[in-house]
Amino acid sequence: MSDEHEGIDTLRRAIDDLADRLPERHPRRRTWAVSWAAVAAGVIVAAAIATYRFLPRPVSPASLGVEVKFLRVRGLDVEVRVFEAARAGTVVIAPAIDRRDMQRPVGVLVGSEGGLR
Amino acid sequence: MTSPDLVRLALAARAGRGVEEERLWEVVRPRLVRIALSLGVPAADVPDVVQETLFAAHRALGRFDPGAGSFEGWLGTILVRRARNLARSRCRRWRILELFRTIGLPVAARSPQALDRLEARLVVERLLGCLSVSQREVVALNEIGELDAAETAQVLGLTPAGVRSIARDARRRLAEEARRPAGTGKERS
Repeated sequence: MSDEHEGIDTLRRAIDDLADRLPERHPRRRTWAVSWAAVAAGVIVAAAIATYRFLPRPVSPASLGVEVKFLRVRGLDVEVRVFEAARAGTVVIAPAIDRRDMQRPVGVLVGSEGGLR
Repeated sequence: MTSPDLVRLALAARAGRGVEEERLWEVVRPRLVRIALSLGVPAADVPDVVQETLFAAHRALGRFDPGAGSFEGWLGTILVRRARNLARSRCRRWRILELFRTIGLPVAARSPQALDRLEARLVVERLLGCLSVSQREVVALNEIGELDAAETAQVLGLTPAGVRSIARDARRRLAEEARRPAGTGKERS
């Protein structure tokens, strides 16, 4: 019987020895937790930036650096908001009136000398 | 501390007494560490596994039913589940690392730890290496954790007679392995 318990007693002694030397909690998990927290924070920031960049937003003339100019249309001077050029040789304008729903940009050609037509 | 004392402490902790709960985890922790080691959990992972077991037990303490079994058995069930999950995840991780090595990606070796050099760790690994998974679980709960055959059977989903039989075989195997000079036997995982 004692022979049969020899192995289990050896195992028990070794486990007791090992258990006494183990720390309360290994610091590795904390490092991992910090790493995961950093990764999670990065993902959240990236998602926020992507949302900000790609979600459709209402176009507001004021958000595009507006300059108000007068444009002669059929003999009348019309006040318009002039936006940055979408591509070379063009600008985008919108009627300069107070109603926000009317402040949608519309395209207009610009001559090579830079004047509005 | 005897089993009825533990149940009393657990019930007091369940009633929301913080001091009793602190004391409860303090009392059971050393036994959980020993059971985890004898389940074959790597020494470096034991503190984490035990901590996770205690945290799970803390969250589930309201559901502990003394009529359904002992507190040690209840904790043992949580611990065995955690250890099995860890073994599975390590196995998956190992396969992924092997795949990385196969396709030539550099895989960093684990940093050497102070525990790796311990004679006791080598003895534990050698002795547990000669046991099957079910033998390890029975040895861990029945021999090291000092649960009786019925409690061990309840935790592992076996019969008490099955537990006694597996324990007997495991003791015989361990005795043979202990008598064999280190490094001469075949180890199984």
